[in-house]
Amino acid sequence: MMGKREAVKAILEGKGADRIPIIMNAFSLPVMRYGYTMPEALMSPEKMTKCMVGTRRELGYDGLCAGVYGGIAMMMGGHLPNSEGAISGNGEDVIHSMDDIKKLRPYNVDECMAMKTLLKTIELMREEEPDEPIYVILHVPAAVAFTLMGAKPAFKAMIKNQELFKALCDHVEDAVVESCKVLVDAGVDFLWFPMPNFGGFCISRKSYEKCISESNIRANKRIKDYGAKIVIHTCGLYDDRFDLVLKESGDAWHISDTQTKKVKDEYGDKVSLMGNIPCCSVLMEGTEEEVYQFAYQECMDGARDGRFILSGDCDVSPLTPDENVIAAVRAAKDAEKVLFG
Amino acid sequence: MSSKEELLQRLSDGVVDMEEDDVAEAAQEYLDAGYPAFDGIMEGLVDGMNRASQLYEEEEYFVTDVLLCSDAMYAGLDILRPHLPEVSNDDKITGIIGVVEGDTHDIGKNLVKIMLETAGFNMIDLGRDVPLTQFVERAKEHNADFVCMSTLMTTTMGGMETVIHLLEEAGLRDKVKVMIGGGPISQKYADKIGADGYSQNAVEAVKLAKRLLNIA
Repeated sequence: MMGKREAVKAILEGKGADRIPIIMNAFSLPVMRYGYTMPEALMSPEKMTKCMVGTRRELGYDGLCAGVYGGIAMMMGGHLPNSEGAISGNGEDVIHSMDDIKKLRPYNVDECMAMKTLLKTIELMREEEPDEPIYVILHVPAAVAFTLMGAKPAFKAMIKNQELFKALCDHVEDAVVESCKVLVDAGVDFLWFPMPNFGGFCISRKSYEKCISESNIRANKRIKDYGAKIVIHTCGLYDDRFDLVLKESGDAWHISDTQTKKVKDEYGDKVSLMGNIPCCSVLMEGTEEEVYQFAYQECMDGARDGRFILSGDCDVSPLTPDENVIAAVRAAKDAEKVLFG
Repeated sequence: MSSKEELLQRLSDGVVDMEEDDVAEAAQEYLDAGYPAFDGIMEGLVDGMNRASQLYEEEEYFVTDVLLCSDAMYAGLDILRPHLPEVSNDDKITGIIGVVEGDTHDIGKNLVKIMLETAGFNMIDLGRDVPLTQFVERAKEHNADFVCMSTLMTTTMGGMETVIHLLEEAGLRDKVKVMIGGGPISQKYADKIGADGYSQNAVEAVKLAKRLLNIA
C-alpha cells in the first residue's frame, strides 16, 4: 500500500492511489479541542502543531493543516482605514476605488511575520509527522481582492464596477504567486484554495465568468508551473459553473453542496475529487451509523478509480462528536478493502 | 409631468434595475408632484424590493444583485421617509436582529433585515459580533415579538443556544419567538437548541416570521 503522502501525490497527479486518504479538513475543531483561540493558535507554531497533530492522532484521520495564510491583505492593506474609518490592521474593507489601489504597500514575502510563523509550523509538523500530508489554506487573488474590498463593496463591484475588482485581482496576483512558491519550497503537499464567496449562494455564473475566472486561470497556472499541487474548494453551489472551474487547473476539487457521484460522472476523468460529507447535517448532527453510511457511499461513488480523498464538505465543526469522525475513518478503511483489496 | 402610476413604476423599476440615482430622482419628482410618501414607499420601493426578492427566489438574482437593489431602495427611502406622517413603531411588530458574538459576517443578516422591514416589521438591528446578553436586554427594552440570530461559523453557533437560555432565565422566552439562520444552521439544529424556526434565506425568513407570529 502507498504511503499517505505518496497516495495524495498520486491522486493530485491524476494517477490514482490504492488507498483513500481521509483528510478531514479539520481546522477549528483541533484548535478548540485544545482550548486555544484562533489567533492564539495561528500565532504559535508550537500550539498549532500540538493541536493539529494531537487531534489527528486521537481521531485517526490523515493530513495536517498548517494554517490559514492571510498575510497578503494584512501586509499590503493593513495600514489603511476601513470604511468605518478604523485601521484594523488586517487589510479588510480598505480598497474602494482605483486610487485606493495605489495606496497599497508593496508585498515582501520574506518580511511577512505571518509567513514566518507558517513556515515554522510546517517545519515542526514535518519533524513530528514526516509521513503525513501537510497543506495550507490560502486565497486566490480574487479572494484577496474580496478581503481588501470588504464583502459588500466587493459584491457590488462585481456588478457595477468590475474593472475595479479585476484591477485589484491583477494587483495582488504576484503576491499570491510568490507566497505559494515559498510554501512549495517549504514542502507542503498541497495548497488549498477556498472560494466560498464565488459560488451560486452569492454570485451569478455571469459574475464568476467576468470577475473570477480569468484571474484564477492565470494565477493558478503560474502557481502550478512552479510545481505546486492545488486543491480548489468549491464552497457552495458550483453545479452551474464547474465547467468554468475546470479551466482553472485545479489538481483536485474539494466539493460541497453537490453530489459526489454526479460530479464524478461528469468531471471525474478530468479532475480528482475531495469531499463531501456535509459537516453540519451529517458529521455534526448525524448519528455514528448515519456518518458511516454516508462516508462509505461517498467512497464508493468517488474512489473507484483511486482518485478520491474523503473529507467533510468544509471545515469540520468543533461541535462534532469524536465518534462521528472515527466512523468516517472506519468507513473509508472498509471501502478501501472493497475497492482495492 | 408624469402621473402617479408612472412615478410609482419608475420607483419600482429603479429598485429592480439597481439604479440608485434614478430612484432618488423619481422619489424627488414624486414628492414635488405632491403625491403621498406612504404610497411611494409601499407601491413603488417596496414593490420593487418584492420583485427583486422574487427574482432571488427564482435564482435570477444573487446576493450581489439584491444588495444593489436594497441600496436603490434606501436611496428612495431617504427622500420619502421624512415626509411620512408620524406613526409610532409601538403598533408594529418588532424584531431584534444580529450576528452572534464572535462572528462578523453580516451580509445575510442585513438581507434578512431588509426583507423583514420591507414586509412591515420594525427591526432593531444590533449589528455583528453582538454580545449574547444584548439580544435579551434589547428584546426586553423594545418589548420585542421576535429575535433573529445568524452566524456563518460553526465556532460561534453555540451562542444561539445560550441566548435562548438567557431568554428563559429572563422570563421572556414565552413572549419572544426565536428565528435562526446562517451557513451551518439547519432545521435540525434549530430543533435541537429549542429555537422556534430556521430559515434558509432572507425570503424564507419573512414567511417564517409571519407564520410564527400568525400574520396572514
